[in-house]
Parts: sequence; C-alpha cells; structure tokens
Amino acid sequence: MNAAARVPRTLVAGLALLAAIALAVIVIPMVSPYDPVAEDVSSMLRPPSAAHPFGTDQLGRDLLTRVAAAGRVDLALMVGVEAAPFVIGTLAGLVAGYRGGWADRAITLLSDALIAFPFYLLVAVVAFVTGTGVKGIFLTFLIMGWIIFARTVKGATASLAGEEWVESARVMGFSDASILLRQMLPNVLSQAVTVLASDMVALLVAIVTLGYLGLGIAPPTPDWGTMIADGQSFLATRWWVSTLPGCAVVLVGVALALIGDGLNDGRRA
Amino acid sequence: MRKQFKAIRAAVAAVAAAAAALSLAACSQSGGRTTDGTVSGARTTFTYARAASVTSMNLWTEITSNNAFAIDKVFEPLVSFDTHGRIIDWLAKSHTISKDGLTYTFTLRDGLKFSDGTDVTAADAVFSIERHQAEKDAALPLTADIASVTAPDEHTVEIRLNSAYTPLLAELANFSNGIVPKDFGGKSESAFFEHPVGTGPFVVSKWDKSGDLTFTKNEHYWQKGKPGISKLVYKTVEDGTQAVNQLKTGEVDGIESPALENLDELENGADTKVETTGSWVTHTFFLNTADEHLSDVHVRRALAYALDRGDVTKAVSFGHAVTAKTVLPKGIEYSTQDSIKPVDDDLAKAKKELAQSKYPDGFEAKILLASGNNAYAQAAQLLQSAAKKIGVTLDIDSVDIATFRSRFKAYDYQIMINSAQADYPDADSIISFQADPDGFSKSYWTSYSNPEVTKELREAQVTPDGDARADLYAKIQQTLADDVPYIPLYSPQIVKAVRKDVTGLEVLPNDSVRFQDVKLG
Repeated sequence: MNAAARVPRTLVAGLALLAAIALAVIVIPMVSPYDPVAEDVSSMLRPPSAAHPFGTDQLGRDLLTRVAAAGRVDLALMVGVEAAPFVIGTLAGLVAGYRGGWADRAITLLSDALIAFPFYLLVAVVAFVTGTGVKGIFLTFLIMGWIIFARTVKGATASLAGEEWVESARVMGFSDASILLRQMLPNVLSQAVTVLASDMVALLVAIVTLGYLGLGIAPPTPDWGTMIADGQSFLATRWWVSTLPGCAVVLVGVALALIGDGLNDGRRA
Repeated sequence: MRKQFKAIRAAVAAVAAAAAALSLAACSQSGGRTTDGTVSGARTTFTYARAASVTSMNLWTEITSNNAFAIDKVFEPLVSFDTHGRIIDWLAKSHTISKDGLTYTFTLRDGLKFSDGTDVTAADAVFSIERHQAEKDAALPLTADIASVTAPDEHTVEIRLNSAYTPLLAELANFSNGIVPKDFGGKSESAFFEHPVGTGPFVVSKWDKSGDLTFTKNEHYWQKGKPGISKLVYKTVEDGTQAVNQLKTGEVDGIESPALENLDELENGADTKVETTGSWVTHTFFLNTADEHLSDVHVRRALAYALDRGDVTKAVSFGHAVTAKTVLPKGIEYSTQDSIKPVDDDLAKAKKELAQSKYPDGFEAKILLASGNNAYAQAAQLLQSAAKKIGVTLDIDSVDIATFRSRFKAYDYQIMINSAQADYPDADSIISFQADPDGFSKSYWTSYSNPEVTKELREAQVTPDGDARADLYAKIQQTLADDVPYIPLYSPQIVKAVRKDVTGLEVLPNDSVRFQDVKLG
C-alpha cells in the first residue's frame, strides 16, 4: 500500500475545505473595499449583487466582509478556547490511565460530577459572574472541555500501560514522565485529535449559540451567531442576512466533521 | 470508537438540521396559500391573532396589553379618545369643567344599558370611580386630588377636586375608569370579573385563560346597529411568523402586533393590508445624569449631536416610525415635534461640546441593553459608532430582560435604551414620569433634576387647557432637549395587519383597536 492510498479521502476533503475557509476569512477582509463595522444606513438590506455579493445588513454593512471578519473572530476563538482543555485533558488522561488507582478515581469522579451539569446552565452562571463575552466562553470551556479528552486518553493509555514494551522501558530505567510523553503520548494522540475535531464543532455551535442569544461577543465585533440573530426577524423577506452567516457555520462544521471522520478511518486502516 | 463515530455523525446531523431549518424558514417567504379560509359575504366572526392570552378582566389592577385590550371591549369610561388621541365624550354625552378647574360634571347618554339589559345610572359611575380609588393595587391610579364623586341625579356625575388638575379628563379616558354595575350587580367581585358585565360592544362568552377568548356581540350596545360582527375571537398565536402565515391563509382576520420587519410583505400582499396610526411611544436612549461622566451636560449634548436619529429611525423602523425630535410624541397635544430645535446630528458641534466638558479627550462608558430586541441592538451600535467619532468609547452591555429591569430600576447603568409610553393622552403623563425628580421613577431613572422644569411641570398640571398650558409645555420640551437627560429616537406607528376585506377597524394610539364598525367581506 502506498502512502497516498492510506490517507482517507474524507480527511483530504475536510482539510482542503478548512484551508479554503481559512484562506477566505483571512483574505476577504484584506481586499474588501468595505469596513466590516462601518454603518451606511442609506444602503441597508440590499440583496446580493455584484457590489455586495452577500448583500448588506440592517445597518448597511457589507455582509461578505462581515461574514469573513466574523469567521476570523469565531475560528480564532474556537482554536484559542479549545487549546487549553485539549492540553489539560490529554495530560490528565495520560496520568490517570498510566497510574490508575487514585488518579483514575479522582478524574472519573470529577468528570462525572461536571458532566452532570447542564452545559448551557453553566454558561449562564459563568456569564452572570464574568459578564457576557469571550471571557465567559473561555472559562466555561476550561471547566467542561477537558473531560472528553481526559476520558478518551485515559482509556487508550490504560490499555497500553499493560503492554510489554512499556514494562521493558520501565526496567530499562526510563522515568515515568519520559515514558508518558515520549512513548505513550504519540500512540494516543491520534485518538485525542479525532475527538478534537468533533469537539470543535460542538464548541463552534456553542460560540454561535451564545452570540445568537446575545451572551457572546459584543458588537461591533462581528460574530456569526449575532449576525444570524440580527437577520432572524426578517428571515422571510431578506433571507440573506441570516442564511449566509448560517451557511458559513455549516461549512466549518462539515469540514471539521470530515476531518474527524477521516482521522478515524485512517487510524483503523 | 463507535461512540466517537456517533459523536461526529451527530455533529454532522446537527449542522445539517440547522441548515435545513434555516433554508426552510427562508423558503417560507413564498409560503403558497393552499386553502382559502374565506366564505364569501357571510363572515361575521373576526379572529384576531395575539401573542398572549387574556388572564384577567379586572380593569383596576391590570395594565399589560394582553388584558387591557380585552378589558376595553367590555368596559367603557365616561370619556375616551379618538384615533388621533383627542379626548371625546363616550358614555357621557357631554361634560363641563368649572372655571376654577375644581368641578367636572358629566351627563350620561340616554338609554344606556349594561350587557345584561339593566340600565346604567350615575350611581354606577360613582361606584366605579370610588372603587377604583380604593383599589390598593391600582395599576393606573387616579392621581388627581379628588374630594368627592357624587350623583346629583340619575344622569349626572359630578367630580369635585381639592386642587385643580388638568390631566383629570385624560386620566378618566383610561380603560381603568370603565363603568361597572353598582355593587357588581349583587355578585362578589371575583365572580363578577369571571363573567364581567359592562357597557362595551362585546360580552365574554368563552374564556380559556391560557388559550383563546371568544366575545359575542352585546345586544344592548348603545351605538345602535353595532357591532357589525357577531363574534370576536382573541386567538393566542405566540409565534409571529405563524401569525403572518395564518393571516395569509385567512385562518385569522387580523394580527395585533405584526413585526415591522415583515410589514412590506403584508402591506403589498394579495389578501392582506395594514392599518396604522401614530403612537404615544418613543424609543429613547436614557442617560444616567448621576453618572460621573454623564452628569456633565456637555457630555450629554456631545452624544446627542454626534448621533443621527434619522439613521436610527431608518435602520429599525422600515418606514413605520417618525424620528423623535422631542420627548412628547406627535399624537399627544402640546408636542413641539414640528417646531422644536433639537440637539441632533452635527458632528462639529458634538466635538465642540465635548471639548467644553470635563472629558475633552473622551471617556469609556457602557450602553445597557436587553438582549433579544433587534431594533435596540441596531440602535445601540449606531450610537456606539457615533460616539467613536468624537473619541468616546461605548461598550454594549447586553443582558437578559430581567437583569436589565432590575439594573435600571436600581439606577445601575450609564446609558440604556428603553421605551417611554404615555398611559393617557395628556402631556403630563410623559412629562411627569420623565422629568419629575420627586416622582417614583426619578425622571425615568435618569435622576435628572432641573428646578425650573419641576416648577413648570407642576404649573402645567393646574393650568387649564389652552395657550398658557401650551407655552409651558413648549418651554419644558425645549429645556429637556437642551439638557439631554435622554435622546428620544423614534416614535413607531401603531400597526395592525388585517385581511384585505376587513373595513372599519379603528386603530388607537395606545395600541388598542375598536371593532364596533368592523365589517367583513
């Protein structure tokens, strides 16, 4: 089997789509003649045209530029917010899986307790304490986000911990830290990354939902959720205001789902 | 592994479902009419889509529109107002006010009957007003200093005041001063309001407090030959899009609160049209004058000059609002909407005002906003970018409605957007609420206090209607415009959407309607 055949097509498609989206959100605001936050009420709610390929919103702002600018904000937030839980969860899972005993029980107990807490209720509580905006989203995901990585990695690590090569490494005098990070981590990382792809979809949906509810990113910073909410009241007559930012969310979701699927297929092949 | 796989599939499914929902909603614009609910010529039932059910018919304790606009179909006051907000005689055929402004005399119409067929006498009116005065939980209490309410004869009601109070007549025009039978016709009060008896054009016949309410025609109504319809159904339709679809298919004949955003669709619809009148509502930015920065009048004037209210109106009203130049909407007598000099839309002056203030280099503040109100969210963004042009950074603090209310009522805000509404068609209703530092809201929670305005508004309360009163309100409005404790933005039209074959619907500036002249088909 050659190397190309081993890379699943879904993964290639997902990565290509994500790269295209990333390129679009980086380039469009740079080349667009419009400022994503400058209002021009005289050209409000124009349907898609050559001048405004995505039309304009209620305050006359170019929607294409705004969808791209919002993409920068939401995607950067998605990556930024996911990073800490990913690292923390993976490390916690490694330790718990390798050590077993009290570490395992502590992580299981903590994650069971947290997972029983309804996510959006926690969001509301955190938003109440920190105020709306990025801080709240970040904190909520820090509290909740690591669990899924810890659980996945813990299971995978535990099943490796009993294998002979691990025992030999220990006999040869490698430290626990070295075994965990140099030997075990590369073996369980692919599973964590697979989870990462699907978890990012959930995170994006959460960011967009918070924006939609008016609890997320505050204007004038553009955000897909707020844009969908802005257009909701005239969905029937000016479909583009909500639908096009909505499509952007869908595209990112599809790209991430394809990547997750592809990684999964790749590991099993 | 299976689990993860499922998670990914679930995510894809969720995203796909969201996309489908969006596109479905987008497609509903064409929403073809499949059935025609109309029966030619013979319709006598008017079905009215409303967002909330009627929960109580108690005219003294209720204020929210879901109840108020059912109550006013059953109970009627001595005086009322027309579509332009002018006071007109209603159950009284005439009224006089003594020269000293202390005695109001009303003469009842001849042949007035309650819906159960009993005669209406002056004693019923006396009982009603006195019972209203005694109500501890009155939602719209009579504020006049009333000495006595008497019935010199069967057809005459006399109200005597301890001190003159010109807004009395307008206050009496409230639905809360409707006439009920003396001693509730022998029933207990609670039993009476379950099966209310009044003089209004309609009688409650079927009532589900968490659903629909059906009225039937009052056979004893004093306007001969009216109402033209035999049944009026208040149908609860919580979702606005559903209400629009039901109007298009003829399932309902009218919508009480159609969204302005979708009005052009109904205005130009094949089977629908809209009826409008001016309102007593002004959507407004309120500036907390107790705040460190906003206590400076130059700061407030700078913000008002920086903002183009015309832009706000245009962005949020879809052609169904008037840009507010003064605190009194045009539908209230003595409004100087057409003559006032507003502090508005002049960037050079805005910069000059800020330079004169204690904060010439700008400052940071927050706009408090209830989440979920699209128009307010847009208006706040326009103020935000207007302020940015003069170096003032405004952050938008969007909170849920309960938090919003508790915060502004605790004076815990700097700038907020909210609506101001007159309860009755007298200038005092708005001016007292928004400019009296001793009122319960302390000038609509702005803490604004100007002794000159306070003096003038008290004087206007006792000055008889006429030029002198007009002059006082003109002065007050100009001072309020110059001091900028608030920036009035726009007064929306009152809009009702109906089927094209509906005639005779009378739309009132308090958002209610009269159905007695309505004909279908």
